[in-house]
Amino acid sequence: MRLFDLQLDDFGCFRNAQMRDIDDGLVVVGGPQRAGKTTFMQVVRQLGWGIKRDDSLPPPADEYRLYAQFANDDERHMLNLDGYATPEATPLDGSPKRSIEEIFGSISRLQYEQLFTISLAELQRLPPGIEDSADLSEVLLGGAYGDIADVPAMESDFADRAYDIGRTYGKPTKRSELRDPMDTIQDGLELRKQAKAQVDEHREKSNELAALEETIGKLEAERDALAQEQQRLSVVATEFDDIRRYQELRRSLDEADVEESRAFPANGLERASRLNDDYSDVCARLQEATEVFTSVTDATDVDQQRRAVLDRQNRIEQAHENISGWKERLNQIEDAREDVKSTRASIENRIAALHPDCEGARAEVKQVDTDLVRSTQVADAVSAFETATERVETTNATLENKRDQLEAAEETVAELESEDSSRETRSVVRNFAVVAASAILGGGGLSIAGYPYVGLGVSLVLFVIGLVSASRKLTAATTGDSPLQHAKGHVNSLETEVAGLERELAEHEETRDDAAAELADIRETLGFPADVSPAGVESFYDEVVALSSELTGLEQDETGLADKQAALADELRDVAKTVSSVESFDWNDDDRLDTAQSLFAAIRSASEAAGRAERLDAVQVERRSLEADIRSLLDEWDGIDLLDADDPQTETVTARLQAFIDAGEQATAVLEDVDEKETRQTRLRNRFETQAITDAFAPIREEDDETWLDALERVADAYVDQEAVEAQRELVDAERDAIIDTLETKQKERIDLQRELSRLASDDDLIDARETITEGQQELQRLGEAYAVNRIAEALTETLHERFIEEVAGSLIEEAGEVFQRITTEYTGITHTEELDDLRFKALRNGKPPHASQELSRATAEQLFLAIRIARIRQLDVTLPLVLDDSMANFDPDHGARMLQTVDELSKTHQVFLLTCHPEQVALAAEHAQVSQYWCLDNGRFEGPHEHADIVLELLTGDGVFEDLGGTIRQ
Amino acid sequence: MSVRFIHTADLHLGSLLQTVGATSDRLQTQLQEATYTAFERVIDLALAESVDFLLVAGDLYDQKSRSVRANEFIAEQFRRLEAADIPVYVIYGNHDPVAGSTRYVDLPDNVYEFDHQEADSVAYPDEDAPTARLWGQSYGTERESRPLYESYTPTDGRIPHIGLLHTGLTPDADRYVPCSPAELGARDDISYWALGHLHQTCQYREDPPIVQAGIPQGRHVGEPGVGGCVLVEIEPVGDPELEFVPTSPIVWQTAEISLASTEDGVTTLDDIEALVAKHVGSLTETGPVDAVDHSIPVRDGDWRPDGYVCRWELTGRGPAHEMLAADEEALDRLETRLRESFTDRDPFIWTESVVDVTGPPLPDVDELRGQDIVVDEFFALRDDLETDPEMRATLRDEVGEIWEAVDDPEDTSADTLALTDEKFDELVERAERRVLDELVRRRS
Repeated sequence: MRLFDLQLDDFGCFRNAQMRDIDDGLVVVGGPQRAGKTTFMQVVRQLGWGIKRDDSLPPPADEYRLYAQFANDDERHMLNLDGYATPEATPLDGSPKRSIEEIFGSISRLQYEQLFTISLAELQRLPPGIEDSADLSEVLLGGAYGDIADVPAMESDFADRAYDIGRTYGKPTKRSELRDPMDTIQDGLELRKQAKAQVDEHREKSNELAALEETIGKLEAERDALAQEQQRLSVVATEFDDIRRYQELRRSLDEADVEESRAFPANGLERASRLNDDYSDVCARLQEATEVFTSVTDATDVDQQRRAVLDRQNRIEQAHENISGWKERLNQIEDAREDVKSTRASIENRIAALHPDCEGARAEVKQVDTDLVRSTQVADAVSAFETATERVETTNATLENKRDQLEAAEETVAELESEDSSRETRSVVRNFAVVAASAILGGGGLSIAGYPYVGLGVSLVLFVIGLVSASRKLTAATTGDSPLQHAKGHVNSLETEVAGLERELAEHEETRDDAAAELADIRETLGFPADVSPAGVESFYDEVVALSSELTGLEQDETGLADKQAALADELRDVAKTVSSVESFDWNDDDRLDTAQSLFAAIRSASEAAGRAERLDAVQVERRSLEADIRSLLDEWDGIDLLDADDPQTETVTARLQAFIDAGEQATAVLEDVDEKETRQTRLRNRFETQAITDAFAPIREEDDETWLDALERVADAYVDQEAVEAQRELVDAERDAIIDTLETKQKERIDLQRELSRLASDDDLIDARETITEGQQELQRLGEAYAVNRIAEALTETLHERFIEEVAGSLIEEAGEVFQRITTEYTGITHTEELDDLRFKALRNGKPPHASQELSRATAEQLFLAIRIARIRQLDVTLPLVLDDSMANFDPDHGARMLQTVDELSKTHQVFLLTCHPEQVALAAEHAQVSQYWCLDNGRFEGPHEHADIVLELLTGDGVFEDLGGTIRQ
Repeated sequence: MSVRFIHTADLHLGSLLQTVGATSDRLQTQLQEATYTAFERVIDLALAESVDFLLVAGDLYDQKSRSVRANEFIAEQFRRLEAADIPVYVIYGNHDPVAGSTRYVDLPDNVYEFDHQEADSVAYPDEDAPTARLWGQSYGTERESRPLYESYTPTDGRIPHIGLLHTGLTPDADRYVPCSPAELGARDDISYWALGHLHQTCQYREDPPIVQAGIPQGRHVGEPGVGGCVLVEIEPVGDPELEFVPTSPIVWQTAEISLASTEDGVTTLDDIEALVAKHVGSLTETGPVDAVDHSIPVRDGDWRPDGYVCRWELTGRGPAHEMLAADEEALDRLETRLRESFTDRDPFIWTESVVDVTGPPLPDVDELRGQDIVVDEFFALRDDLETDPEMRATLRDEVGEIWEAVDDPEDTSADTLALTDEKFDELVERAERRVLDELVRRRS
């Protein structure tokens, strides 16, 4: 591509400046300083990519305006740029439409800038103005670099990320991202250090606690010791009197003969006392009884009298007890006597009333032998007689009636007449005869057997039965169906009945007669008066029987009464005999019972005497018994003389018994002291059954076998009285309170320490530290890995880049070396460092080490970079305008000439603008190159084109030529 | 006469799970108590099994986390064994060296602590009628370069000899008793090597058994899987019987959640949460024991922990990458949501963190092979990187001073990052992926 028309407006000093008909090849633009050469170069740089929004261009007054026409191969295009618009190519002269990219190829703005627009200033600062991912490599490698154009950017991205994380060295520097997690870790480590220090602190606190525990232990021991002393003093204070009493008893008993006291029959003392009382009492009672006994007796010998009474006492007492019985019997006898008398009179009256013949006939009545006839026999006979009599009367009446009926019936038959009546009558008669015979035989049999009335009665009955039977037979025989027969039957029947009744009547009469006869026999047998009616026989008999019996009883009663009187009299006589020996009493046998009352009085008197004797005797017995008991009691103890076996003197008994009692009371007192001492001792000892008290006294025991009581006494002995004990207690209380206060303080300190230890024993701080460290480590790990990955990725991309460059950059370096050798003539080639991000070239000389660019002279270094650029431009597929802005200013003429020759060769294929303010450069170009045109540039204005360099030289040398040509330029 | 014992190590009591932001007191307690609970379970097991003794092969405490409570807890647990007449044999390791001021509470009389000055042996149950002899030597300081095991010199071949050793099993290192399984295995006079220091349970050899007990409870995402102890029975004749018994109430997991473009697409946090939920379901269903290939038979294959602490590593290319990249707080919000969503499950799932290693939705990188000279050059570079130690060494210099090259992650201080070979490889891989992603993105 080449420009053939260019118009600039509002670019720095350029105001509607134009270059028209610009030629191909080498175009020299000469202008003084500040003429606008560099601005021109900047404008050219914008052609393919638009105006860059940076400060590389002076700002427009209004708007950048750029107009250019260019040819690319055989095509012509126009380009307008207003402001920051995107450049577009407009075809001219029928050329096909092309995009800017097609025209400029794949070359980048930077590549174009760095390769095709070369200022002296930019040559001085390599790598020049690299931005972002671009670098000199891109510039230099061009199309090859395009294949890996992004690799440096990648590398840069990786590097930037790594740098952000860990800066250059991947460590937590101040601004690196690693700093935060590292700080977190450090915080955690510090926490862990503190937490681990807890172990030491715990140990320290444990030791403190141990020391404190020891102090507390001592204080508690002191407190407890004082508490024990308090306890001891409390016990002593409480038991002080008891202790003193105990000690007193002990001393007292030490002087007493306890064994002797124990030997005394202790149970005998009470008994002795009781015996003493009883003995006094019995003696008094004996005296009294004796006086009573003697007061009612005249006997001179009281004992004898007493014994006499007592000898009969049983009988007297028995008699005394029997008095009521005897009195009863006396009354009964009297009553019986009255009864007999009354009965006798009654019987005699009844005998007189029995029959006139019987008055005074007591003996006779009594002599009736009622045994001869039994009362039942009399009753039966009377009854039979009366029955028979009644039957006779009844049968008679019936018979009369039947006879009347028969008569009427016979009249009826007569009327009917019957021939057969005789036969029937015979049969009836025969039957009747049989019955009659049977009655006679039965009654007679009985009569013969000794029962005549009975036999008569039986005969009559049988007879009647026979008649009835005959009558029935007759009736039956005459019964027939005909009236005659019926009448005859009726007559026969009546006849039979009549016959029967007649037999019956006879029988009854016979029976009655038999009964009357029997009654007569009885009357006679019994000697009853003959005029006693049969009906009176029975009552007479009964009365006689009763009187006889009563008379017998009366006689028996009279006999019994006599016997009773005799028996009682006998008994009373014996009693009277006994009583009379004791009491003055005379028994009268003649009037035995009449003196009974006197006897009874005597008995009672004797009984009373016996009682007095008995009481006297009992008291004497009692006294003797007591004396025996006393003797027995005194036997139990050797400390007193025994009593006489018989009848000891009362005074002796009393004296010895009292001596016994006195000794016993003394022994009892000793033993009571012993008991009291033991009781108190036991009670005091029992106080030590309380563990707290035992614990309190344990420390003061002098020996292990010292008794608690001894220890207690020893404590008590230290004090005069209870007040002294209390005073000591107050002192101890005060001391203990003080220790407790101190102890409480220490215990609170202990609680605080324990809490502290509990806290120190906890893993909480360690856990917090661990979490903090872990949190930091996780982030550090993440960032550390990210750093490492980015750095490795960066290194990989760099290596990739290098390897690629190594492959593709070889020809460039070779060609650049040739150019460089040609320009310099003294250097044989170029080489470069591997670090593309800090690409450095070295000049090769035969036999000498390579010279780094910075080791070269400025001009040589510029020649080196120009050689590289020229070589690279040669390799590019595109042919774009090249702008050299005083790039050779520092070259000496020889080097400048050789460089211009090289540029001249390049201008065969590329349009080259050689901008310079140095006239010698213009002259040199004119001498060593085929310059196509010369242009003047001054103050933002172009003038040209010229075929020769003179105008330009004049401009640059300031000889006024330029001024003269001002009008042209202004066009 | 056989001996039966429990082999444990690396309890690190006092150290805590490296979690933050527990949302409930209950969860916080569970997390904080995990190391204690695991140790208590070891003691419970010893009591339940009525073992002859308990072996602790170092790092009972953690001097970085000196704790009164840890000391008291250990003493209390050992007293439980004392009550059951079960002795405990302890060597101290690099985390609780004798010279360190780790121990604070006197241990009960049933605990035998091996000295650090020289190797020592003690007979079980006593010297009069021993049925086994224990050999051991504690660390004096945090480093122990002496071949302590060479001083274990049994002479009585009639009883089993058990060697306690705290070692990293790296012969060329000089910190943690340098030795190799082969060296220990050559010692036919030792019936069982009870090792500590490495936190993964592993049996290196069978005759004699060389066993790292592993850690009873992992404390961070770098100690994943089921923690436990080893129940051992050694017969006078025959092979020892070993059984791994899980004890860790918490299991650490790093789960990869692929957000690669699918038909449905993963474009929102809800989508990511759904994918995590799906993984959670699978995790709790499968159980942690089945998910790991154990070199020692596991007692209870159905064993389940109380909970999981998971790091969700979001991977794959897709629109989610853009979404996450566009919102600086998106990961934090996602982390919060995941914590809230799964905490109440049984076992609970606690999100330790969410790591975004997703990539942009780019064409398949392989499609660019042979088509793009830069991509091809990068592949060539990557191939060279794998075979060129110098190139890798150069990259090692790039990781930053925050990284400290170590063989053992535990060797780093809290304020540096452990650069193990594995970690470096991971970083390089991630960097390669980043570069490739960027290349593809820029050139597509």
